[in-house]
Amino acid sequence: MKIEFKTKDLTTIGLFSAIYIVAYVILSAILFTPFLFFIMMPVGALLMGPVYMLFIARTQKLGAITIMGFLAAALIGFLVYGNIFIALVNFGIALVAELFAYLGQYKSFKWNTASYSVMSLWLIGQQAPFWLTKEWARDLMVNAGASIELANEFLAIATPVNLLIIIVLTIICAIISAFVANRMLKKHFVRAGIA
Amino acid sequence: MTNLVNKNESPFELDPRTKLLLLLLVNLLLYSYGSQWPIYGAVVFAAVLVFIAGAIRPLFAMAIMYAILFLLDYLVGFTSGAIVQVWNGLSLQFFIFLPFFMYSLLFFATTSIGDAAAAFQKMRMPHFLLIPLLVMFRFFPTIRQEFRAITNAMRLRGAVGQGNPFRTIEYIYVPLLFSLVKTGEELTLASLTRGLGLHKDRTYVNDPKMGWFDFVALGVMVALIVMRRLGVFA
Repeated sequence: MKIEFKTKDLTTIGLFSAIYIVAYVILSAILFTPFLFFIMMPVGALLMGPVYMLFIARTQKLGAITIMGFLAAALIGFLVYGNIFIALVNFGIALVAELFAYLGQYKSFKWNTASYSVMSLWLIGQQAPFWLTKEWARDLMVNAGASIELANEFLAIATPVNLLIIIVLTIICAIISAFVANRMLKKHFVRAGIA
Repeated sequence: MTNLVNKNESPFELDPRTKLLLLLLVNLLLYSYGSQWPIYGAVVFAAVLVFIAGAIRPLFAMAIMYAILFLLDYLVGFTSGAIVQVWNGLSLQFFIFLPFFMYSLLFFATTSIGDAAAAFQKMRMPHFLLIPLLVMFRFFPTIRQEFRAITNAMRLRGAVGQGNPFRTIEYIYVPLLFSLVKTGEELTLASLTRGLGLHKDRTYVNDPKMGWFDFVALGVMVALIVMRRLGVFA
C-alpha cells in the first residue's frame, strides 16, 4: 500500500505534535516529584483524549501517528531524557497505537479508543528504568545531583503491583477521556465542520 | 533586508547542527559517571556561547531565576523535616536539568527557524519529517499566546476559576483547539502559496557551514565528557 502525504496532512501532524509535546513537557515539569511522577501517565491519558481523537479525525492516514510518535520520542525521549532506550520504547508504543487505529481504518471509535489507550502508555519508557533496573536508576539520579533519600523514595514506589495499578489506571483514564472526546467532537467540532 | 546573503559573517556564529550535537553531547555528559565539576563547566560554557550569540535577555532571565532558586535552596538548608523533603522534590528537576536547559536555550533562542530548516535539509531529513518539525517549532509560541488570550477572555467572562473544574477545562480546551486548528489551516494555505507543497529542496538565504569555532565548541564539550569519565580533578 502506498503512503502519500499532502502538505496539509504534514502541517496537521506538526500542529498536533506540538500540542502533544507541550502538554507532556508541562506535565513532566509540574509532576517530577516521587509520587506524582508515576501519576503522570493517568493524568496525561485523562487530558489528551480530545487532542488525539481530533488528530485522528483530521488526518485519517496511515503513518500520521507514527510520525507524531517519532517526533515526540525524538524530542522528549531522546533530547530531554537523553536515552536511546527510552526513545525506542516511546516510538515502539506509537507503532502499536498506529496499528490499532489502522485496524479500524481510523474511523471506528472502538479501535481509535484502543489506539489511544496504547498511546497513553508511551511514558512507560521514561519510567521503565525505575521498575526494571533499579540500581542503574538510582545511580543515574544520584549522579545527576539528587540526594540518595530522594532516589530511594522514587524506587520505593516502583513495585510490580504498583506498575500494574498504574497501567490499568491509565487505560481506564484513556477510555474515559476517549468517551469525553467523542462527545466533545460531536458537540463542538463536527458541528463547526473541522473534525 | 540589506544584509541578506552574508548574515553569517561573524566567525563566532555556531552552525545549527553544532547546537544540536551539543544538545546530544550534554545529555551524554549528564548521564555518564564521574566527577561533578564538568557539569558546572558545561553550564558556564553554554552561558558563554549564548552570550556570544547575543541572546542576552533570556540569559539574564535564566540567571535571575537560578539565583533565586539557589538562594531558596540555601535558606531551606536551615530548616528541617517536611519542608526540606518537599523542596528537594520540587527543585530536583530544575537542578538536574540545568545544563540541558542551557543548551536548549542556546538552540531555541539563537537559531532562526529558517537556519534550522536549512541545516535539517542539509542533514537529508526526509520531507515527511521536516515539514511537521518546522510547523511544530512555528507553533510552540502560538500555543502559549493563544492559551493566554483564551484564559484571559474566559476570566473576563467569569468562566474560569469558579465552580465546576471540568467546565473550566472545557471552556479553555475547546476554544484553544479550535483556534489552533484554524491557525494551522491558515498556515497551510499560506505556505502552500509559497511553494511548500512542491516536494523539492528549498533554497535558503543562509547556507549553514561548519567553521573553526564550531569545532572549538564541540572540542570543549568532548573534553568535558572525557574529563568527567576519567574523573580528572574529582
